[in-house]
Amino acid sequence: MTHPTEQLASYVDGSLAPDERAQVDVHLQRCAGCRGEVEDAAAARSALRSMTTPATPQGLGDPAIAEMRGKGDPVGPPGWARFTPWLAAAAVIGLLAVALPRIGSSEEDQTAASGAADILLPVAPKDIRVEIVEKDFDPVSLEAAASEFVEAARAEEGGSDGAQPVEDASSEASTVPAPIAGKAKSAAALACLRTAVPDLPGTPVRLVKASFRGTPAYLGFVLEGPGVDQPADTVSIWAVSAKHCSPLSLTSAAL
Amino acid sequence: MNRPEPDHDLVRRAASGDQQAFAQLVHRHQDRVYRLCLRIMGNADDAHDAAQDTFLSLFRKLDQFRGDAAFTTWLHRVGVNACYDSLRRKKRAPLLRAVDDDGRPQEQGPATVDHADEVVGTLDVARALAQIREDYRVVLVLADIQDLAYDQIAEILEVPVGTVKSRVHRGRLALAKALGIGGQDDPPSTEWEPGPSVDASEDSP
Repeated sequence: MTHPTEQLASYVDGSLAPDERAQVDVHLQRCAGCRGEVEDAAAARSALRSMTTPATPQGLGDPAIAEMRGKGDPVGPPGWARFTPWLAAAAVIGLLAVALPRIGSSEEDQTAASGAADILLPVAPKDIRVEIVEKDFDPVSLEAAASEFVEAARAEEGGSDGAQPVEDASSEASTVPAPIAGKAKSAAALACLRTAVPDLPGTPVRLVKASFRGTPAYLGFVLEGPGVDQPADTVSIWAVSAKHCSPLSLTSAAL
Repeated sequence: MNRPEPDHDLVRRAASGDQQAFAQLVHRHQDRVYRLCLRIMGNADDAHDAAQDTFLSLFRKLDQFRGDAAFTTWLHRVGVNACYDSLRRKKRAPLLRAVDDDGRPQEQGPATVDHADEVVGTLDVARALAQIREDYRVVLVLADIQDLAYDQIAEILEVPVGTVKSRVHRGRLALAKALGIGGQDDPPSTEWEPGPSVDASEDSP
């Protein structure tokens, strides 16, 4: 027996054309299964339509209106696009972890490749420095950051040798690189990330101090692979509260 | 008495930078956007965030709006996508805890409904709705709460109308079962991937 499943939704709504309704009625007379479904579906529909809706909270459009006001205002809340230069520069720092077999830097010079740690190991490079960025992130801009990271990674991967010095990237972005925090604060930030996410599933390659929806936050860029000894295939950005070291948000993108 | 300015005109003005026009769009549609997000996300906090993301996304896509589509259909598509993005983030981050304005972790409730629904009946339905498959929940919210036509829902979800009807029917049965009033078995719970797809299992009871 063929059951008129598609028509049953409209039958319950009462929106079926009269001739189709008559056909379904005929079917229902000899199909107890469909009769039971119609009864249940009608009860569910009735329950849904009886739901009351609580009052709409204020300020739902505030972030959008704030971004709108910021358009064209050099100090206003930026759209993500305006934020690209620092990210392009900073992403290349992270890129070194993607494009090179090893990543690392000396205390004085972040472009040097000493004290390296293999990115496949589940440990963070000890000398990741926190970049300080004046930006308030939200889930949308966090996702955009991940996409930008991936785009930069792919662009870099398609380059000649993937080992472009950071200075070149900075000048390419024609902007001043984000200020870098000292070693102690950077170590504290990394510890905060690990407190917030005890089983961090990957290797942190960048840390950014910013805010997330008004809460001071660290953004940890983490490279994840499918398993031990496998190259990273995903970048995740964890936003964690800088004050309470608790997770605030997460976004991921395939590399 | 002046007729309200059509959505299409407000969109055009907002796209050219008119903040008042955009604020008017928000004011006009915030109730339906919040209701959509509340019933898909299942709790007030996530609904608030998803609704804000909806308007943020709307603002960023204003110049992509083509006047040949109904604005409410387009707005629902933006809203549903914002909810899906939010749900995906939550799935990928089981460790995430809700935080208050000061960043302090809040206690997680046992269910994904909250005080916003402390009304007899509504709470039970909201809890049941939160338990059913996402794809069923979304079509039920669009059809039976937002009161959209099946062809509109098909456009929003980019699936055939027949698929929408099947999902609505299956979703109602799943909800009935979750409410304890159904005798039907619902299909196995699998995650729905947005995009055009027709599940053959939706074609027979």
